[in-house]
Amino acid sequence: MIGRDFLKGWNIFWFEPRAATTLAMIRIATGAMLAYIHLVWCMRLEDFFGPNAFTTGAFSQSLHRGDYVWSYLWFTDSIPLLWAHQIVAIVLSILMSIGFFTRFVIPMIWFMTLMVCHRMTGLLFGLDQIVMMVTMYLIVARSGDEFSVDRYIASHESNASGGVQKSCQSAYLSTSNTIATRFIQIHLCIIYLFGGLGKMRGETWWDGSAVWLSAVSYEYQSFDLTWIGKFPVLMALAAHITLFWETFYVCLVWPKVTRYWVLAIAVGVHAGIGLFLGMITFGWMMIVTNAVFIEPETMRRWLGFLKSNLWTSGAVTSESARN
Amino acid sequence: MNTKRIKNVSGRQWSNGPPRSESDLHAPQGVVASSGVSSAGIAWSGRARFIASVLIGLHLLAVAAEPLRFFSRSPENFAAADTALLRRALGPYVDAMYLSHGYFFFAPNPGPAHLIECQLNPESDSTSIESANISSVALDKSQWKIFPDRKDQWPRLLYHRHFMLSEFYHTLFAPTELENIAEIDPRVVEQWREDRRIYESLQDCIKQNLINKHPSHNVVLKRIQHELPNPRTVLVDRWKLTDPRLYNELLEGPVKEVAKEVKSQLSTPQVIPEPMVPGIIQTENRGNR
Repeated sequence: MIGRDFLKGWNIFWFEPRAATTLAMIRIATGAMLAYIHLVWCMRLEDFFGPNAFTTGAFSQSLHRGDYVWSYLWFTDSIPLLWAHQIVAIVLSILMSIGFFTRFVIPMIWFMTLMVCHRMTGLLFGLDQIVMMVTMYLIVARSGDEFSVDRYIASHESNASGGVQKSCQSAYLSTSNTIATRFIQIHLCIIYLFGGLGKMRGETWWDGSAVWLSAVSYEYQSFDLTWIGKFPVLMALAAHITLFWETFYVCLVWPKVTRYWVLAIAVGVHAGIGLFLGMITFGWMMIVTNAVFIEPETMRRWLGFLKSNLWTSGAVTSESARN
Repeated sequence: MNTKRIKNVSGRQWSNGPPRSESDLHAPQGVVASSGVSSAGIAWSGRARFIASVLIGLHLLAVAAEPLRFFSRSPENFAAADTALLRRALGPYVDAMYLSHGYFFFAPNPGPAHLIECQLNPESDSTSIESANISSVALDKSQWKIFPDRKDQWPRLLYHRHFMLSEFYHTLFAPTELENIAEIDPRVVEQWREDRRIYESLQDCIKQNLINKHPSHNVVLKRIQHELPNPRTVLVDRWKLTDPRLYNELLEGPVKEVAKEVKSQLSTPQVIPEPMVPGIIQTENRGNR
């Protein structure tokens, strides 16, 4: 009986089809971030990839001797070729964001960015990990089914042929979306769990001084936060909330009663990291990734104004024209 | 979650019941479907679900393998036996898919930042400028660079790439020599040689990059640690976060001194450091070439 209930729960959890609404929003943000990441690499292309790079291809290759990392970028330092690579990557990222040839573009940009990550060992940080994680799971999803050029084209082709099967108003349910959503959710929980457990080992997260140490880390700082030192209770509270929220995220994000509280803290923590510790890109991507816990139906409701204005206008217009 | 909630745009229930197949689930006109369909709406066959479940389980193990290994390490062990086995077994997949992350963001404690000070000396003048007192030394800007540098590296993501480079340089550090090398376990010596080789390779790469931009110059790299001041130092004594006394040059060797430095970093749980004595921490045995 227990086994059957578990199996039923497992099937519902992983294989019950769902709409792509939330994943489509995540796709838009992630594609834009990927474009930005590749653009920034281009700003000092020679320093990062060229024959006299900070970490040359040969050096990067030597770091990975004995493991299973490989990148074709180890074997070229031709600047024109690298420019071409990066321009293609930026174009694919933009296509991913707008949802054009989505099912083809997302695996391509994931692979190209993976090659860059394997090439740029030592210059990467949390942003790269999160962007790669989300992009990898979007390969599985049918995120191009909504808020995309693909969808727009499909609906117009359908309307032109006299059918209305792919109206812009309809939602596509797919098991792939569920699997991708669950992967992102669980992966995010693992990230927070180990991040929280790691902090549990440190004394400064318990005595409250971690917030001060973060505030006075000049290399991270965006704004002068040293005033916080005058409020030890506030510092300790912020440290303890971070510690417990991060560690218990894995438990508290699933029940609906606590989910939106946990997500609200996530927005606060990551917006704070973004604004005050100078990691706007990382903070923004973490907030975007947390959105995966918002049900597609809720996301649709929240985006109601878009639905009634921009999103469905094409379909309404074309259907009106047919009538 | 488990309620049947497939409705059309006007809010009517779907009269034909829940969809049975993936193609059905690509809903007909005007259907807005929530995520909450009943289990009867699951489209995949039992065999497909079983295969997918096995793959899902393996992937999630791979996701957790590296943080588990990272978390279970100790000064004595590379990792606990079980996590090491898991990491080794899934190694190809973990590495290839870029899943080899410990996720220890700002953990266990926020620590000091590490910078690279690059001195570019004209080849005619072989004497390096002896100072770690960064802000107080009036140097021609073309002869001195620091990674990371907000003024030079913009936007913030570009700055962060340089910041990660300087932290990476610090992480890879291996001392210039080992004292009493004959008494040390040969495996440790071998590991040190390999670590030193990698560290010097990175050093050479960075130097070559700078020499390429500044021909006819010698480059000297220094590892600088930017200490984190305590509240009293900042709020009462009015030190700025860029106070030169907070910047300390780190040793390149010998191993005894470095070991002491490393040990203090590891064993002392990131106590807020007391203000350092102004000036250079060490001047001997520089490993930079």
